[in-house]
Amino acid sequence: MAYQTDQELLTRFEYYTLEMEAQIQKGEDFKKVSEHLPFMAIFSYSDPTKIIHTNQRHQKITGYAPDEVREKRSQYLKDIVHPASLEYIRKHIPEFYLKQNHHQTMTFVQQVLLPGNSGYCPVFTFTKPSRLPDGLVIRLLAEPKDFERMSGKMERVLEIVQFKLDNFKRFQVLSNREIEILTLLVNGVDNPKIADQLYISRRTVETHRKHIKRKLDIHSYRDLMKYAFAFGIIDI
Amino acid sequence: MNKFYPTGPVTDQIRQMTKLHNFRNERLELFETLTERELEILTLVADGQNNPTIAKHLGIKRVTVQNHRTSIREKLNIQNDSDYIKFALAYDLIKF
Repeated sequence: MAYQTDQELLTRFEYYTLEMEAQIQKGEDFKKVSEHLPFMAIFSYSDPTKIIHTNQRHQKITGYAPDEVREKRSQYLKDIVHPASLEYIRKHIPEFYLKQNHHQTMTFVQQVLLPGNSGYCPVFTFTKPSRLPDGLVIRLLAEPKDFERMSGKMERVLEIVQFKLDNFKRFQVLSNREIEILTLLVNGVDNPKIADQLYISRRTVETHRKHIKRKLDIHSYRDLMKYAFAFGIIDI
Repeated sequence: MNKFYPTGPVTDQIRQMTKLHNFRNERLELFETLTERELEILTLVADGQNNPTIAKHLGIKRVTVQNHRTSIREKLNIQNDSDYIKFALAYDLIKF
């Protein structure tokens, strides 16, 4: 199955998860509802490493049968999930399940070893806190093939995530005022207008710009725009 | 897909790329009015090149570059430098 846009993939993820939850709530067996899903599905409770079921698609792609995963889950995780990804999942996913309401969704990338691929591949994983009485959570995973056909869009999302991670520390040292000015800059507001809008002199704007440039190691407007996209401070 | 990417949330980035995708679709007709030369210049401007560099690179006069830029701005209704980059990214003229 190929998806035109990334949003389409997200929408499908969301749709299938809600649909499955609704069917399980009606009394359907969760093993049955995930059987013909076009995605890999993993079922667990709030501890994401205590996997209780995986679907057919998952077996087809990873080579692990549901009972194999269930019985040897720590071995399975160690064998196919990159240690850094596993650490992320252990640390952040239970937190997410606890803190958010069931309307909140999360999509993250994890690195997985899949048969037929050399090295780890990025796999997009979608999940949301459970709205089922017993707290069963569903994770849906798209295989790399799914987004390779998406005209390189997923690749771009990953590039941006990488940039954000690489430059997170730099961005953090900006003051609130500097972030305010940066936001205006990347949205095309010029110095005189920034000065007017913030009730400061043009020279002060100039000084702030100099500091921003130095702190973020910016050499061109294009560099500035990378920050704008990575940190979500641009209006498209 | 051999490059290694770290684990982390991507929801916000996907939303942003979706907005860019919509930006592209909403302006397809405008974009299609650009000539080959204008496309070339838009790409270089978005890439951060200034007029003298572009003139030299393409072997044309600076004033010609300036005229092309004016034409691009009018055709695409570009208000500022930020818009050049949005267009170039949306139409895959430059990489992120």
